[in-house]
Formats: sequence, structure tokens, C-alpha cells
Amino acid sequence: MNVIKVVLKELTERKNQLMTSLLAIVMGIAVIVAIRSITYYSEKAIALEMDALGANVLILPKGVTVDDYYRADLTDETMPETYVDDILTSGLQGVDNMSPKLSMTALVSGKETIVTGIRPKQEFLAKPVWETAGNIFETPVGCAAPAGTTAPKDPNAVDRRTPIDVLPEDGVLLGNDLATRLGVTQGATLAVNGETFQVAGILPMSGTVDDGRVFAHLTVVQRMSDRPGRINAIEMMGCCQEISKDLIGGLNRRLPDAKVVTIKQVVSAQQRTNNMMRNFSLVFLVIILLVGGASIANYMFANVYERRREVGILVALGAGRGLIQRIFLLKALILGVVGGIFGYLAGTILAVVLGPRLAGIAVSPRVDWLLYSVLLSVGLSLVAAIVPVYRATKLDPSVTLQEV
Amino acid sequence: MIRIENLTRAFAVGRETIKALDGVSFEVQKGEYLTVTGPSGSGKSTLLMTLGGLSHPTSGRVMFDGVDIYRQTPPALAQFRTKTIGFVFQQFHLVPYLTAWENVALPLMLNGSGRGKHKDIAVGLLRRVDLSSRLNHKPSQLSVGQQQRVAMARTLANNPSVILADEPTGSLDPSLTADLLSLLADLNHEGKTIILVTHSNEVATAGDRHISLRDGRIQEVPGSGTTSNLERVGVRSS
Repeated sequence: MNVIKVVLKELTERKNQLMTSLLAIVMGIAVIVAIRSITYYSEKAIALEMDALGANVLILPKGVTVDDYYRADLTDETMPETYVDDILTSGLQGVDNMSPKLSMTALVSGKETIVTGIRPKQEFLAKPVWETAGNIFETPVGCAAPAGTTAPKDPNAVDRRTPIDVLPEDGVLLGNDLATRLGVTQGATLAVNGETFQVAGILPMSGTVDDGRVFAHLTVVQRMSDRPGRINAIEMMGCCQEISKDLIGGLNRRLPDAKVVTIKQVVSAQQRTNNMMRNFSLVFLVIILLVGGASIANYMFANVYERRREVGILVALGAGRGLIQRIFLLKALILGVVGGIFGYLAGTILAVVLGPRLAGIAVSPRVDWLLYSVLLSVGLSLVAAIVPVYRATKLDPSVTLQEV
Repeated sequence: MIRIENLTRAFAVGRETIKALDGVSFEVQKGEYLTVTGPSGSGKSTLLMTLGGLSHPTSGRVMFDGVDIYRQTPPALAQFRTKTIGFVFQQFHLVPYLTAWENVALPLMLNGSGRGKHKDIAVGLLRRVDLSSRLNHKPSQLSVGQQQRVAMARTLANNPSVILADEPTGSLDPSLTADLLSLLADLNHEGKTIILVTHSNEVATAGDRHISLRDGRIQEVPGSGTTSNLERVGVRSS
């Protein structure tokens, strides 16, 4: 005989009551786990969508103004290309992709046109709208992309990947509008400042100044403009959470001769959406904690009331207040542990089943949340039990034992 | 020896204060068998609870072997109840979800004694009350008489020196009443002090002496209740 055995016997004595109270805890924890799971993967999916909006940080030479963001790279001022490596090796969190570029004005088929030097793969990562040009870029897999949410690739695009991914030095990409104006197609040749290039691809319409530009390899533009090793802009995709956590400050400290600006609308939209999701789940968490706590407290109050005569017996047989406390807290602990485990399982199943149907997102079980579920459930049960347990210790056995 | 000194126990009922015990004083010798009678509401059960360390008196003292039990710390008072006092109740107060032997073993668990031998001790006690065939039965599966015997076995589990019985025959028929009184008499002969509260004058004759309570005060005891007799056994009416 020991206290645990006595408590377990008491809990299983009235199975209906036990199941009712357990159900309340399980449902509370299940709803928390389900909502948290769905919002977690929703946040990730939204972050992924936000990334698809493109670069949200622009790094420019110090003296450049950003009155017109889309023409901010058309300047004579430059900065070293090594800034890219500096950022990569800085250990700054939240840098998802960088695309350095150098722009110059050149005669293309006799017309003055902007030629922008890029690192092809990185440029495509920063320009999701170019995706249909051949899907040469990977969907961002940085901080925002959860496992299992990467968009499937178009198999028809595979054969177009090679020429763009490894843009040769004599190859160029043409903006859609420019290609139409010049009447050239993929594979045609093009004269840029007297040099002949082959059109490796026509970019899809983006609705930006890119539609009127020629894109060549960065090293080619550096050579043609006689600015080797120099760039005049780095477009960067930063994770919105890290941007709000001083990514920009970190970049400024790391690159004192550069100007770091964010595209406010994009960043603030990202932050707003993420904050909304977080607040949404927080509100649910608070409501459920209150409802769940009240339910457990109600059960414990009822249990203390129903067991008041047994409390009297135990005291008459020599139990102290401490033992009475331990007995009722042990009940709350057992309810908390069992409720936490089953609540986690029910909530995870709910999220996995309902996530794709309600939110259109795939939800995977988070095993690490089992511990949090149990801790939350146990904490809630113990806190909710404090007042009822205190009342149990204050029961007067001389009164409870004389009740008929 | 037990000495009760000017014991008062008041309860607040709404705005009224009701004195369940009002200046009660008496002594009980070691090994004595005392019966307490009185009508409903006279304070009999309250007296027993106060004697057993379950109900703090409003004033006065309860002395066991010269120690005021209510001046002890709560853990010491709990220990006193475990080791010294054995309660017998009219309604038996068995724990409904425990079997007969588990009910009997409950005081052993609370006392921390006989660890690992709880069942053996409980079975021995149940055998003494002739219930060895009902070890694993729950109270609801036992007759009234069997429940009372389980309660008696539980009372004896920690071998208390004082048994406080609150209307122990109140739920029993005459045959079971006789059995229980016989068992109490045996225990008394073994040296245990017994204080039995009853509303039955017939049961009250089972003891060495008896006192009567009315409105929380000790009254003259019919039959043996001459003032000289009361004084002889240490009863003083305030």
C-alpha cells in the first residue's frame, strides 16, 4: 500500500467522472496543439509566400540616394564585390539570398540600353517572377521554408535549366519588353557596344524596369565598364523576423561604406502577417488556458467536496495536512500527464487531418511539442488545483465525519 | 491517563454561536472503559472528536499522560492520532474504493510502519474479526456487520492504546451489537482504554462507568451517578 496506489484506485473508481475531467484537459491541450501546429506551418507558408515577393533589402554605395528604388543601381558610384563574401562570412542571421549587380549603359543593336551584370543563379533566386523562364532557380530554402512546402518543379523546364544556370560569358538574357522591341528570340545574336552575344533566354514579363534591360554575366559587365571587382548594388532577401531583429543594424556595422535600405512595404507586410498569426494563436492559447484551467479547477473542487468524508477519515487515521495536499496534487499531476499526452496526440492528429483542408497547408507532427504539451497540462492542472487542495487541507474532520 | 480540563467547543452557525461543549472536565484512567450518553446534539460526538485530536477546543485542555495534545505541532498531533488513538464510527467510514484488507492497511501506510508487510498485518487483523474470506471485497460488497468488523480491524491496525467509539452500535442489529460490545470488552481486558459514545442506556452499561452529557455539560449519571460515585471516578460537573 502506498499513496500512489490509493490515488490511482480513487481515480479509477469513478471512471465516468474521470473520463469527463480527462476529456476536458485532453480537449484543451488538443485544441492548443492543433491551433499551434496549423499556425506554425501557416506562418512558414506565409513566410514562403512573402519570400516570393522578392528581395526586401537593398545595399548600395554610401552616397547613392534611393529616390527611385528600381533605378537605384544606375549610378557611377560602386562598392567592392567582396562585400558579398563579407556578408556571407559575417554569421549574420536571416540572409536568405544575395544578388550583386553592376549596371551600365550600352548600345544594344544601336539603341542605348541598360545592361546589368548579374550572378545568374543568385539573381534568379531574388526574382521569383522570373521562375517561368526555366525554373533555373531553387525555390527559397532559407529560414522561411518549412520542410515539405517546397513548390514542385515543372518537369518541362528542366531542359532549359542548363543554359541559364550557367550563363556563358558570351550569353545574355533579355527583358521581355526589350526582346519584343528588338524583335529577337532565344538563340539570336546581339551586339552590345560592338561585342557579339548570344541570347540565352527571354525573361518573362515582370512589370518592372527589368523588362527593358539586358542581363549579362557580372564579370562581363565589370570588364566592359572597366570596373573589375566592383558592383553598384546588392539585392538581398532577408528573413522578415531577422530584419526586425537588427539584421539591418548588423549589415550597417559590417559594411560602414554602404547604405542598407529595406523595402518597407514588403518587410512591414511580412512582419504584420507574422505578428497577426502569432497574436491569433496567443489569443487562443489564453482562452483555452482559462477554459481548461477552470475545468480542472471545477473538477478538483467537486472532487474535494465529494471526498471530504474520506479526507476526514484519513485525518482521523493520522494523516497530516501535507499528506492530504500530496494526495490531491498527485491526482492533478496524473490528470495533467495523461491529459497532456492524449491532448498532444489528439491535437496532432487534428492538425494533420484538418491543416490541409482548412488552411491548405501540410502539417507534420512536432514530436518536441509532446514535452511542452505535458508540461503545459501538468502546470495548468497543478495551478488549477491549488485552491481546491488548500480547501481540502482546511476541511474540519469533526464536521465532515459527522455529516450523514 | 486522560484529563479533560474545562473543555469548551463553540461553533458559529450564521450569526449565532453554539456551544457544543461547555466547560466539561473529567478524567479517564488508563485501561478504563467509559461510556458517554446523551440526547442528539448534546455534544457527545464533539467530545469524542476533541478527545481524539480532530477538533481544536475553543478553550480548555485535553491532557494525555500530562501532555496537552493541542499544544503540539500539527505533525506531532497527526502522529498522536496515528499511534495512540483508534476511532470507531457509527457509519464505519470505510474508503469505498479500497478492499477490506486495503482499508485495514490504511493506518499502517499513514504511520509508515510495517512497510512491505501491510497485507500480512491486515489479513491477521481481519482473521481476528472473522473476515479472512472477505479480504478482497469492497465495502459495498460486505454486509453491515462485516463492514463494522472491517472498521474494527482498521482501528486496531496501529495497536492504539485508546479506542474512541462514536455510536458504534447505531447501525447494528442486537446480535451484531452484542458481538461488537464483546470485542470491545476483550480489547478493554487487553488493557486498551475505551471511551464509547452512545444514545443507548443499555449499551452504556457495557462500560466500567458512564457519564451523561446534556447541552454540552456533564449531567448526573443515572444509576451509578451519585455525586460521590462521580467524584470517585474523577468526574466534575461545572
